[in-house]
Amino acid sequence: MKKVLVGKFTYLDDIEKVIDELLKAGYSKKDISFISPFPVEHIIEKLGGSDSPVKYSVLTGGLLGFASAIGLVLITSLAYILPVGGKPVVAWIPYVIVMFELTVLLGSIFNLIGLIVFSRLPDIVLFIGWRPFLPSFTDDKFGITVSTDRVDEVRAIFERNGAEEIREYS
Amino acid sequence: MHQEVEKIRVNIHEGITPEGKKYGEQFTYSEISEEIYRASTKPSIWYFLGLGICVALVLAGIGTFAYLVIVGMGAAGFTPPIFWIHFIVNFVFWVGIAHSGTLISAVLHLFRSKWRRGIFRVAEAMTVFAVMTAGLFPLIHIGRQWYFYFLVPYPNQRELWVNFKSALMWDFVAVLTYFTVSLMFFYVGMIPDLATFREKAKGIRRTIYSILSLGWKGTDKEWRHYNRSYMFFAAFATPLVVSVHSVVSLDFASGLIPGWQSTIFPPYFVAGAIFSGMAMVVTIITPLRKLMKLEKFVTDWHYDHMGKIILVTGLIVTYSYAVEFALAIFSGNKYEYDQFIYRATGDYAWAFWLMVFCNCVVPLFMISKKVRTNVWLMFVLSIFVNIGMWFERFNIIIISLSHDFLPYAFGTYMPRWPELIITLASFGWFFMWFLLFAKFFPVISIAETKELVPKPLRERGEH
Repeated sequence: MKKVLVGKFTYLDDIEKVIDELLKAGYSKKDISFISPFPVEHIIEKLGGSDSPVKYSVLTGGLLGFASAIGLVLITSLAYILPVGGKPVVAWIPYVIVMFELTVLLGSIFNLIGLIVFSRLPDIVLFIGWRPFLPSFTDDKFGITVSTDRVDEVRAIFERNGAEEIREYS
Repeated sequence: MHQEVEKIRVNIHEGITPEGKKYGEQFTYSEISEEIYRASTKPSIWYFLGLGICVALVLAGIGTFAYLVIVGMGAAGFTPPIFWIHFIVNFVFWVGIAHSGTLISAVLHLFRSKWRRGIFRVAEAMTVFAVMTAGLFPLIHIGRQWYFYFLVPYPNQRELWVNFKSALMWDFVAVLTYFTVSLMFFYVGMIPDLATFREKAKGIRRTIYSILSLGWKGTDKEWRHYNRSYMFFAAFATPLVVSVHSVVSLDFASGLIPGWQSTIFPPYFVAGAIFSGMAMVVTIITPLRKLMKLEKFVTDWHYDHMGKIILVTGLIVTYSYAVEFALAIFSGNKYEYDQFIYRATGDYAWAFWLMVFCNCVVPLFMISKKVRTNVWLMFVLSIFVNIGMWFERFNIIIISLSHDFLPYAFGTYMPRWPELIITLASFGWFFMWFLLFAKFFPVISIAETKELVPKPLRERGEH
């Protein structure tokens, strides 16, 4: 049965060595998680790149906003005709403002939804307290969690590279 | 003072002070979390005094608003032909105040500007609360507040629809979008810091932070999505900064009143909004850093940069005033010409020249670096700018309406007590929300401040 080991570290170069050794030992990037109080770009890059599917969510929202704005201005103009001073009933230039605003609005809403869905938030189990996580990971320490059935091997890698604390979760 | 600015700049860009010490020796990660958490939890007696004054002003405003609803809008100083009075002046003023928040958090984020980190949270909060304040004024102004939902496009049995060709509808859509996007941007930026607060708090506060932080842990996957999402928010918010106040300016520019119908209005309003918004950041952050002992995080280095933005936007505003006069003189339009002569020499000349002094002369002091890095002097100058920008909107709205085409339709407006109390109450409302925010939430970004500290590496020595 697989267990989760969490190691607490102070130095980022120790973290890099741990990740390198774990990858060399045959662990996949999906089994390893790095936890930090602020984004550390080069380690995030090492564990899977900086790209995120949030961009597709934003694109969907933006297109939906743009399309719904076109629908809204067309329906409202044609359902209730207000001819003023010989101006066209469907006047595209003033509608650009509405289209722009709704594109931004829905794009942003879908951006938030994308962030929440892809980051698997809200993480309800954290409230219960069994999740492999230490409070100092939001303060001044860095963490590595590994899902493994070779506990002793991972523990040895952590200890060899300066782990200050190691916890085991089943 | 000059030496201090140099020191901080070196710290941030190179991570080493002129004395050869590491920046991390001045701030450890723990100290950053602890100091910002402490600032949010232990306010002084002055905080409660300020909050009490704000709540009292809000209650007075609610009472006055109730009086206007019962008695009718005639109790306010509506005088033909001036039917857009203090309420619309306040609306434009507060929408303008909201602007620099998004400028600092979005535009400067895209430019990877480091100095924004000490102040952007305050500016974002200011944006959200200023839009909340601005949004009240059209509601107060319409008179029959119970019909405000007529602005919303929804199917109804009367088969009426809103007119999207009207500048007022653009305004409604733009301000609503701006508020929603700013609120989401503000909240998303705070999630990692709320997780830090969650781990430090106890009892009910911990529960609230747990819910608000959505169980954020700070894993590499979370940060990856977060960074990308934040960048998209910034990319969306940047054109919003330009669009919202441009749209507000179209309320006027699409009208036929002399002094309003001008193509210069959108850029002129956007520059003015950033000018007033940045001044309001200085006005708010100066007492805040003192009361919450945040001098280490908001330094004269930040004031130096804020002063530069105020100076540049102030010069753009001054140029816009000059162009407005030039257009009036050279356009050959007699009504436009008369309007601008009236502004400078008529019944409200005092308001015009007060505006010129506050917006054109006062920012010039900021050419001097000594002035820009003098915190309390900047605070005083920022108050002048705020006053000046309020009177700019007064001049555009009230003076233009009071002196339009035909002499028999000219008139003057003097505010009555309901407008004055509601204007004061709007400041109480704005600062009340701000003080509550400062008490419960991180006023400075913890995660982004930590990014300024050199990364802890074993080969470099102890962190």
